[in-house]
Amino acid sequence: MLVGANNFHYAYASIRDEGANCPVLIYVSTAEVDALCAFRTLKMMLKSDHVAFSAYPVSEYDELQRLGAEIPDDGLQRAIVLINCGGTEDVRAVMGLRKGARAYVFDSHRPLDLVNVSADNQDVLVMRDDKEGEESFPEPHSDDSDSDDSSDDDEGPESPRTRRVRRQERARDRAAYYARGSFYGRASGIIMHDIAYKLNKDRLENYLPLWLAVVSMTDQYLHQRLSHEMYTSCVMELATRVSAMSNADQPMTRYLEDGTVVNAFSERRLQYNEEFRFMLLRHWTLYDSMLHSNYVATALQTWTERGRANLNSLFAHVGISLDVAKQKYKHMEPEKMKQFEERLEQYGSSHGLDNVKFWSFQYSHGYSVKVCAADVVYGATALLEGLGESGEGDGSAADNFWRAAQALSLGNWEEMESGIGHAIRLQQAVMRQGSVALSSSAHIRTTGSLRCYNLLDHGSPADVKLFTHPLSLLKLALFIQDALRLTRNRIRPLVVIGPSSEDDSFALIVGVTAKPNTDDTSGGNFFTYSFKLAAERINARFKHGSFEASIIQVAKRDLGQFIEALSDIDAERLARLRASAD
Amino acid sequence: MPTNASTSLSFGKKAAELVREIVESDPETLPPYNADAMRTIVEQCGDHRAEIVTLAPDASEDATRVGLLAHHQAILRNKRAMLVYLNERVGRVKEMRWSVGMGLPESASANMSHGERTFFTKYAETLNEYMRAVDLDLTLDLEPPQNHKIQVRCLEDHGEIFTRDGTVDLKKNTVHLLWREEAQPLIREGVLEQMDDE
Repeated sequence: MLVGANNFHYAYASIRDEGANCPVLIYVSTAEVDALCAFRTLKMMLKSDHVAFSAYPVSEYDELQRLGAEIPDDGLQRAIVLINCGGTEDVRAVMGLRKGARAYVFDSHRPLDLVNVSADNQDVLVMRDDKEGEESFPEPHSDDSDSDDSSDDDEGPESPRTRRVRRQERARDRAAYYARGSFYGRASGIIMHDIAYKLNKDRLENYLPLWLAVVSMTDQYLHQRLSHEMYTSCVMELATRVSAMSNADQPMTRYLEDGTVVNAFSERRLQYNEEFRFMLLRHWTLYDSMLHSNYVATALQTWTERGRANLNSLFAHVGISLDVAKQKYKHMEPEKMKQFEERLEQYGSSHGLDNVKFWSFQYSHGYSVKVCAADVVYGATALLEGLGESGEGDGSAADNFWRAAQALSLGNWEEMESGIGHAIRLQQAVMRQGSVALSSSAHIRTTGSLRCYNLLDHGSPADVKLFTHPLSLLKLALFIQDALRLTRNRIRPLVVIGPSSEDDSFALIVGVTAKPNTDDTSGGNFFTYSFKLAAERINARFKHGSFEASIIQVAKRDLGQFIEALSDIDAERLARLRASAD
Repeated sequence: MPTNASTSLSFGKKAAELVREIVESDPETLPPYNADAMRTIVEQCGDHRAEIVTLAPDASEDATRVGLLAHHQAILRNKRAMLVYLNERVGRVKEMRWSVGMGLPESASANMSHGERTFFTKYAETLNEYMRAVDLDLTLDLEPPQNHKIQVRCLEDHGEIFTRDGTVDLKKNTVHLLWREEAQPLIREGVLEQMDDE
């Protein structure tokens, strides 16, 4: 059943109370930073209540099923928490919930499975914030037995015929519900912060839950899972909380006795401010940061000669020499940066850079640490992706998960900095491979209504191995799609094929739709549905168990057929859309 | 008036050596119980007493009175020095119960006197009785811990353990919040690793 925003904290209280019987079992997805943040906040709250827990990082449904079967069947009241997994599948069936066990689902993936949502299902509690908007959930089942109960509220006996008609109607509703494809709801990290806020636990570890909520939100935004409107309203919401922090009104600067102004020491401080849409600016050079940001790269088309010239001319206009722009940002004179900011407002739009800033948050600690939320998201994501394994760990998804978790705690900057370093290397590879894809129209094939880019055919081998993680490949796909959106007349869904991490005979495939899948109004990611269908239709060998359903692994020898089947299915989809529009 | 016994009398010199011996030793260790010195000092006290008894009849003379006083003070001083020695040793014996535990190593036991060994056993019994009564192992953390539960990460597959909170399945790369005393032995074995991410 669903739990609304007003009752989130009751759900936590119930987890806490059941935790007194036996340790709370937490299954947390290793797929994104949001899950990491949500877990961190939950952990903090449980720790403050001295509730024992066990946490299992999981990366696919098979794993969840295996772990579910290992839960002892002792009839104890047991709380099971699922973070960013489980929402889109029938939790009772996947986990094989035993008597006494109850699952609490914090999952931002949509659409939610209807069995989970059903009010009759008291064993599965799904958190859903009402801010996501109204949604009607069709009945999950229409087998013969339940039509008896539902006939109670109707007058008179039903003929078998009307019953059949109603059953068909419901089946149609259900099909329509799922066929929208996948999209995203409120970030789990923000929901956890809502709970912490309600229970006066948001001040734990110096307002860490608030910062984690900010990181969660930014994670969704940067991976195009949150529409710009939703992002703005979320920022406003969190900004009020930031300004309510106890150290918010401390002055940033102090005056010494002789009148000189110095920066005041501030411990763990959150600030709400405008950031450039440049990649990892504080950790790179101004020039590279611009060149490698999706925003500037697509707006100026920097993969072409003309685009690069355009960027250089922009620097000339704002009066910053390339030498200055190419030195470490940290070492740039503050006056130069100020000049850059002022002049950019004036000349930016003539170069196609209009909204060069966005509202975000930054965190500072003492004199040395100053990061913005986006930097942390890139850094932590790189660690989750397992880039730059140091040889200490075993490189498994779980191992990467704990490394990223360590980096996310505000005390461990070395780890985070190494993550940011890997993020820089990945972004360079994204730009290189994206440029290769975009440089020739022959590289991106159009099959029916789809576009398809095969990194395995066109990418340089040194870079290809960086794209084994779905998130890395998704970054490439999003960049190419962003670029195509600005350069091509017709926008089509894009499929990108990359290497598989586990098995060399398989290929990893991600799909991005024409519009970003930020909420259900823009239409979900229908690849969720069509990937599996296509693979089944041609009897391909495939793996489709990830929590992110718009990702599939298909045997390389079946690839050609798979893409054809996918394009057929997409043609059918478009035909259906046209038919319903008429 | 002086007697032949006066040669064995040192007027507290021997006792002072005993005190110096214990003070100069490493406070973490228990040096061998110096039974010889103790016996000698007790004998000396007896000799002083004998002196007093012989001198007592002539107590009207000033010079004799000075002698009496000196012998008496020597006895008191010897007694105080022996008590210091014993008290310091008892303190260290107590400390051993907290640091070493119930099982006394052979080397420590050999350095104790019979009385000290009995004291150790009785002290341990009393402590155990108290800890049973309050249901708490006091010897676990000599410094009061910040939290009584700690967060640990599992480094290898260890299987299920039974804790006060219920069954916990220790799989590689999972993280758990456990009671400190239940996790500590596994941390020492290297199965778990304490995670500090605050």
